[in-house]
Amino acid sequence: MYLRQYWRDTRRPFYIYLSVLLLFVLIWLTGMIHANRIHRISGNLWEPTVAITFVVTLLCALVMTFVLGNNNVGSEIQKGTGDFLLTRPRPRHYFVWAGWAAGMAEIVALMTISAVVALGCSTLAVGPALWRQARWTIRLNTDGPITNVPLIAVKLVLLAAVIFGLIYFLTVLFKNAARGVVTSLAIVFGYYAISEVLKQWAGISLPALDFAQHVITPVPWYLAPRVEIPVWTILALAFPFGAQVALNRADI
Amino acid sequence: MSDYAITTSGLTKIYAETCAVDGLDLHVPRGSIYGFLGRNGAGKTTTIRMLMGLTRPTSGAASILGLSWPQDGLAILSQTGYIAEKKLLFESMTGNELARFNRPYFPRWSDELAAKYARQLEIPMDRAFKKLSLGNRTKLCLLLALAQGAELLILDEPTAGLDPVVMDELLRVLVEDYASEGRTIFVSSHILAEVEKVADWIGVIHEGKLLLEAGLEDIRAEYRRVSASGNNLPAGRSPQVVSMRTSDSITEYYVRRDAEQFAAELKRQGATILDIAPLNLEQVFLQLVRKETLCTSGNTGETHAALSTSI
Repeated sequence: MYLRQYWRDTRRPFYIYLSVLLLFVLIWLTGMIHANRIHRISGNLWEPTVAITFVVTLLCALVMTFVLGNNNVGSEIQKGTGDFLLTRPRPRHYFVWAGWAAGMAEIVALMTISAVVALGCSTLAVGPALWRQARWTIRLNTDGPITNVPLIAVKLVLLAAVIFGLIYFLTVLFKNAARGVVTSLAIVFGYYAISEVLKQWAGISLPALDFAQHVITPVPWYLAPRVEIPVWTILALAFPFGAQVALNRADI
Repeated sequence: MSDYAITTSGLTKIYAETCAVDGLDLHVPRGSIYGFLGRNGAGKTTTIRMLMGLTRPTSGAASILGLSWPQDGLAILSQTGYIAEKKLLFESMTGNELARFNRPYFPRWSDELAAKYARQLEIPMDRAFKKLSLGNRTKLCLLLALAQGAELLILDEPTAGLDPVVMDELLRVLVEDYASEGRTIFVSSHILAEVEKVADWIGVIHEGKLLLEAGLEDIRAEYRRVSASGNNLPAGRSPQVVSMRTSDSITEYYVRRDAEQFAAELKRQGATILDIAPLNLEQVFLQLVRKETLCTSGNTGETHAALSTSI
């Protein structure tokens, strides 16, 4: 039903993303194999390889959050199809959560594919020695070192969920996709600017919105991971809940 | 079971400082085809959107098929077919895909009915919605509403912008197939002649207020134009006078009931009665919502008018 419709509306950017990824991977792989032949790259390149992998994954996922986040019941209202959709006998929150779940599923799928492809290519290029340094169990009491793969994955998914949720919420609130995206960008960059200003002038650190910092340079968590992950999870879920409240109160 | 498919009580919608719908008391009998008439901006679409739960009333209540908003909202939606004013569906979907999309929402959905109406109305079901003409879009919207097995159809300007052939096809399906099985149609329209062809009940809304609600036969039987000539004819202060118009030495009184009695009274006052003629729906509508109207107040089945002349 609505999930299928959501997929129909978003499958084009999904496929475009996959095509771009495939092209990127082919170019990268060719370059890596070529470089390996000449320089004999060792297995000690785990950290930069993973860093590149996750930064690329994160950036691509963030682009997709903007594409997918503004495609929801709010944009349907903007397009004029909200009358049809919201007179199907389902509670309004069904359309909010179904769209959110479908969007998140697509984002997680894309991130997973990206990560697997990038790591697979790295292995092909550098060899299996790469994997010996990786840790595959979540250790929430660590400072999030780059070798802790599940922790990095959780961080990336949570960041994508928060940004996606923000755009989703604002698109439903404004019943307008463009306003939702622009306001979300303003909030994200505004937060970034404020946190930089506070850090430079007052020495106050706010939680980093870009987990890429953690990936590239494994800086300590703002709070302990066991605290920060639930906080980000609650924030990520607060946005679709806010969208539900906004839609329930809205005149269509 | 209530005798009414739709009732509203003091239904009101205020946007900022504009009162779009003002204390509407509607009574739509079950099994009727109810024409909901009004000028642009009269409050028709706002009323319909409140009935469909798309807009929340500022005050008042609406009951549909004996169910009430908001507590019975899903039950109302599952038994009510709706065609919105804009007639927009998902653009990339074909008619067949839209039917498949709709099917799981409605337990009484009938693929047979969908196929039947697709054939009958000659809808290209394999073409994307965005590639359909306005007429075919409207037909597809109607098909989806009919195939869901609704007890009540609420149609907001369904024939706007359609050519006469398509309009005739749609109206025939509505009357011969749907309403003939005792189900209710609530249709808003500007096209009075079409409404007059199919409707058996009429509601007239103006500036958010209900001016008239009555059976079409009653309207035809009661409303008359009394043409009189003479000097110093009385102004129409009688409650049965809807409006009056004076041109040269002839005065036309639009009377809601007891036209003969009214004419006799005019005669006693020295007037010469030239003609007593029945009115069609369009004439009644125009008299009710004419700009010259100074004061009207609506409630069920009654029109109270105190009107001035328009010399």
